[in-house]
Amino acid sequence: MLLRNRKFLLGASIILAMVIVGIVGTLLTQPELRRTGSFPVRLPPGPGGLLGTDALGRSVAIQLSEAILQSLQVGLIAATLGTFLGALIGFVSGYFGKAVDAILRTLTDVFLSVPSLLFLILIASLVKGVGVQAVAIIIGAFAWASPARQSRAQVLSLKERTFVKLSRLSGMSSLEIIFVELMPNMLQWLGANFVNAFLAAVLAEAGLSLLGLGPQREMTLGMMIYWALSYGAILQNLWWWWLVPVLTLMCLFLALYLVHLGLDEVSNPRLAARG
Amino acid sequence: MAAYLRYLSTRAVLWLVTMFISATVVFIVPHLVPGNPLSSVFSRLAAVGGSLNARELIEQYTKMFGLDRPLWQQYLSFLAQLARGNLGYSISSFPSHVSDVVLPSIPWTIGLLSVTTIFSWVLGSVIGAVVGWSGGRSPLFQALVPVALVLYTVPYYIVALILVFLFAFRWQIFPLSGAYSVGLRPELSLTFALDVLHHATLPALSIIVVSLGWWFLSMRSLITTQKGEDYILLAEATGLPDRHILWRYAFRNALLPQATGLALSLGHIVGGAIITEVIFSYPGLGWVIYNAIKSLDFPVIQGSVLLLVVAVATTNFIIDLAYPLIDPRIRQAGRE
Amino acid sequence: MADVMKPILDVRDLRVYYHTSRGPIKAVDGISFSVHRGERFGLVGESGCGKSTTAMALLRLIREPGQIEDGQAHLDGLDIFKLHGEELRKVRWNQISLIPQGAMNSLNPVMRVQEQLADIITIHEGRQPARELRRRIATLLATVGLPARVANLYPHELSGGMKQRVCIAMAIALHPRLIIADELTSALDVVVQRVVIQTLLQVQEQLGTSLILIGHDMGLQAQLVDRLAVMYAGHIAEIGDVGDIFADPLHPYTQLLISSVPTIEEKKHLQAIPGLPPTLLNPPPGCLFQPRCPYAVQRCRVETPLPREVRPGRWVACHLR
Repeated sequence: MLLRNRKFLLGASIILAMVIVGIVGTLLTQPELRRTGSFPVRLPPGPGGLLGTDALGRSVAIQLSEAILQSLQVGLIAATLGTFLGALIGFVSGYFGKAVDAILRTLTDVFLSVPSLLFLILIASLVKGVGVQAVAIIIGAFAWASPARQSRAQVLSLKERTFVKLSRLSGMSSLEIIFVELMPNMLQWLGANFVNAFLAAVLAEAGLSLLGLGPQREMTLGMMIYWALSYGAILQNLWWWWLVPVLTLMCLFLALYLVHLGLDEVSNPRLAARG
Repeated sequence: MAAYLRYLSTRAVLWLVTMFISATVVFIVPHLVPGNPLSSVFSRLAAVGGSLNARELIEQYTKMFGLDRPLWQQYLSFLAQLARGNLGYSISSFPSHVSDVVLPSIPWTIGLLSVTTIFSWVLGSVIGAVVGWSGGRSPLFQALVPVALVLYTVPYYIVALILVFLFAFRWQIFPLSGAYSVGLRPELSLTFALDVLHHATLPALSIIVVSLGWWFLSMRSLITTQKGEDYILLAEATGLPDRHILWRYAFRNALLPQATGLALSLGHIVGGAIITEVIFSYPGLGWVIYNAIKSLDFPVIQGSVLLLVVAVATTNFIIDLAYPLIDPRIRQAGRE
Repeated sequence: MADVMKPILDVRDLRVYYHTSRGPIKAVDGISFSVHRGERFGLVGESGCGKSTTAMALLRLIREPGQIEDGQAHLDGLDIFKLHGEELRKVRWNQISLIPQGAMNSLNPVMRVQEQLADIITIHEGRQPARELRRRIATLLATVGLPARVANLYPHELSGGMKQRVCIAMAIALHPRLIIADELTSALDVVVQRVVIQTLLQVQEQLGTSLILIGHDMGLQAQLVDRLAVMYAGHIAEIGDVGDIFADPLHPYTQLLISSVPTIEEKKHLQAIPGLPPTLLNPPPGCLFQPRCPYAVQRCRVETPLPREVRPGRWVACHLR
């Protein structure tokens, strides 16, 4: 059913296309071509060099293929970590209730209201110079609050529902009940949360990189913009240097948003009827 | 009245807890890096050929924050210092205090954020209400929806980049950076005020363009939900004029969730604004943080983060105080 | 003299269809009835028979994808289906008002009772001096048996019965000619039901308003109304004096409805009516009750029975009468 939803398909294909571009681009280029000075500097896009070159003589297109894969990797790792951590915390909070719930719920509320970017800045500034995976883990470590809140709400609503009480009468342990009843809904809900977390993570990475806290030795979409700005791309009218990653990012956001909408429509068919 | 006070105290407790937990996180983080938390920073400074006052700094810090004492004592003295408003010394501009570095930037950030946020929230809500109420009847209104959908997903700083490129570089209508023109002395005059506005336009626009989309969509959806409510149906049956029902019945009921939405997104707004300031070299807290990152001035980063967290938590609390004024049901609720 | 005899409401051939992608749902398909001045007229039938839709149609509250397909409704001579915009707005509540089905949710949560009532009054009658308004509202509340302090309360501070009575107060505020009470007591418990009903009937007598009482409880209707119309699947099965109908039900559906009402006096089998109501989406030809009717004949399957006045004041839509 999901595979027939137009929005989901459109979004997923865009992401797939990006992944393919990234993989193909990375495979086709020899490592030497990545070094600075491999190309003439400051070439605008055109016959000379695909998407142009930057002030250091690197091809923007080659950078882009690496950047896409790295940014997607950040999104993937961070979203996975955040969603599952959040789901676990929310589940524990909702299932055990009382003191445990009170503590975890307060913690969740606090982390929801605080700008997580600030904590990210704090940590990242201490461990400057780490790689893409480390950045992803740091981002993921702060992405648990939103899934936790939702996961808790799900568990609570299930605890209350009549059919759970009925099942309990039939002899299943409450843990079994919640898992069995949660599972079908869980996948849809996990999917939506995962996509949100993915989007947020890519955004966070871009933001951190812009501030100079990104993985300096590797190329991500955020880092591309960072380098462009550091070398004054705007003032030197090297518009392709920053516009390419910006457009790619916007494409990615749009695609993720479409996937999210598609997931929503599938889990709540009433929305699809109007769309 | 009693219920209101109960509600207030619950929110006040949450406010205190937020600040407390944030302070704790800010304290713990440097200690997660193995070794003397600040020595790693100092050693990097030294490697870059940094400050000559390194030894003096280390002594000052060690004394002030008791780095030679057990962790829990350090924690307590950290909290004590915070309570006194002492955020420590800046490394790159030693012997200036962190507060000296950070304080001048606060008005710029608060000014930018408060004006843009309130403006987008109010305008977005009004337009969203009108469009939502009209249903599918006006094609002009409906066209706004996809526009907003595209806009609201874009981070502020990306809009900022595009705006800077077009309006500051290509067509030099607005300045590229700063809060006011170089050489102009800050004073209470019309020329200065206009200059500030001129410089603030692009940064503000970057935030407004995106935020407007978000508040517009949010209110539109809330009003659409309102349209299905029984009391709206009855209001129509009583012969109340259409516009009257929209503003006094539907809009008033939608305001509470819209205000809740504002409180929940404050963190996100602040985060985005920080980075936007960097694009414009706008001398707010974001710019301070950016420079502190470049010069490895960790105490300033720490202090700025703490300040921002306190600001967001306090604003949240203020909005909490305002809820009962908007929705009488909260006055009874007490707890969530 | 003749005017007093003319009905306050005359509905002719009302049709309300909901247009879906699969075809029209004929929620109300050609009903006609009249309500006399000062009378209590009951409209009874099972869920989905079209009684609430009728009420909504009379108040012009039918929304997309539904619409009033055909018919006229003359309120004291004025065809209210032909009114639009400002004219419609003026007639609403002034001439015809509603006590809604879901009183729980029908009051604006962010307005005090006082403000809502004042809103209605000032919109229709212009600005009023504050003290006058307060007094008038207190009187209204007293009429429905509520203390004056209720005016300052918010809906969530009121019990279900109190909210329902506030709705009654709202409905009578402008002294309309006709009040429609839609499932007045469905959401209330029995004790509160009694109070609310008594209130409404008292008020109606005091003001001399005409009343349409919509419900699904035959037993309740029997105690409340002067005349009764029985609806089934968007059509009217029978109309008549309530005592007459109970003593001698002519339509098979009415007969089954009455015999299914439990009574304390008589010990009898609880009788349900077998089968389900028909789909109103592209309904089949002939009488819609025919599949469940114990007396159905061939003619019933082919030809739709039209209501006929078999006795003065008694209409039945059945081939067998």
